[in-house]
Amino acid sequence: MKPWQIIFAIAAKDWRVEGRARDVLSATLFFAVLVVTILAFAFGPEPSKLREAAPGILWVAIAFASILAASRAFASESEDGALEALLLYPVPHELIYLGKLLGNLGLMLVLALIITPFTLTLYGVGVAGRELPFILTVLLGVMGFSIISSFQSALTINLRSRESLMPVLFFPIVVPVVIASVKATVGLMTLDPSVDVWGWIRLLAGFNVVYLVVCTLIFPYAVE
Amino acid sequence: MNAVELLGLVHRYQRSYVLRGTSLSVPENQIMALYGANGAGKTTLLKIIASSLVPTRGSGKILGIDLKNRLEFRGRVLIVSHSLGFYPDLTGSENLEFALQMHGKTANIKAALEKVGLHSQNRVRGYSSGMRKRLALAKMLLLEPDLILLDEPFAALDPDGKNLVEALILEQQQRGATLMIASHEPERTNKIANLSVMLEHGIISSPQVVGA
Repeated sequence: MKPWQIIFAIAAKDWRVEGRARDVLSATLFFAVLVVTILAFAFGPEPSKLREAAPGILWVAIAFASILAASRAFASESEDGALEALLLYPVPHELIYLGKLLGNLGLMLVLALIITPFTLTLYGVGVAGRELPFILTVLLGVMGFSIISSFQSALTINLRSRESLMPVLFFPIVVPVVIASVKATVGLMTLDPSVDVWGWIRLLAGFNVVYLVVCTLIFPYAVE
Repeated sequence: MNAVELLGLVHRYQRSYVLRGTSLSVPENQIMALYGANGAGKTTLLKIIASSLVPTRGSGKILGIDLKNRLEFRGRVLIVSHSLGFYPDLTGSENLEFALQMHGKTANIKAALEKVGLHSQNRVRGYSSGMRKRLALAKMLLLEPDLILLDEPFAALDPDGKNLVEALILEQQQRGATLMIASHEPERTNKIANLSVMLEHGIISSPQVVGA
């Protein structure tokens, strides 16, 4: 099998499992909608306040949902020793990581596809005329979160304190992704000319490339 | 040639030593029974051979390949242990299809399932432990590994299931595979094994010729 076929087979398996169990999407979606709604009540009803808070709240919801999604996605691997079996298949472990990442990213993109329009509507913000950079920001931001959360949940899968360790390990590393995503989104939602949107998007893409390469290369050593 | 050659394997979990300088040779195309009390280190030994665990010290060759070059022999070794590694939310066929994909192989899944007496199209979550074991046997049939490591293959099976395991083990040997069987049932295992060893407190005895 070609590398991309292995990656896709692992991701497709995860999507099939999720299609049956609906464990990841239901939990993350409920959580993200709850965060966005509660904070809308806290900041509302003044429209200007809501618009100001929207970028941060969108990314808070996505960031927390991402941790939840990654730990649950790997939970299916730990149930009957499936991760051990997965690691014993004669495929490079780098491809296993990329497959798990693609699986997780697919689910996170479905979540973003629902939660982003919901947030824009609830907070009364628009990105008309700036759709392309906005979609790119969401895509790259979600990808950044998925790269790191997938890697870390694989590392912590066998630890008893996994649930508490994940956020502790996740947030310090993901800070550059959070800052770049929020800044680009602020620029796109508020049209603040002082924000260099494309500069932040480039930075976000750069971080993603670095994180993707580092996580892919370290993963085999980390799980062996 | 030996399918398995281990020299001075030491393995420890935290401060307790499970294997204390285990050396073992398993000739190709033989069935070796591995006996020992609970906690003697049988599963650890099989996991090291399967490359699922890295020994603390020691060296060895699996199918002629150095134990350190794990990726090179992984596709030719199959371990069936207590955790069978199936995805509970997939059906038996889907689990087997995924295993075949990962090995880059294609095979007749339906025929393998019929051979082990599995007709359920339900998710594995609804399988009994005996059915899961039969599914693991179907995986063994499909992947046709050169070295098969079976940890308690007769456990959780009804008499028919036990007879099926015996028949499939002998069939795999006839195909040319080498098998190691960790078992607590010497009366049944000795019927099919060529050699047996005893593992006690991390030390392994010399292989004895048995039955078959």
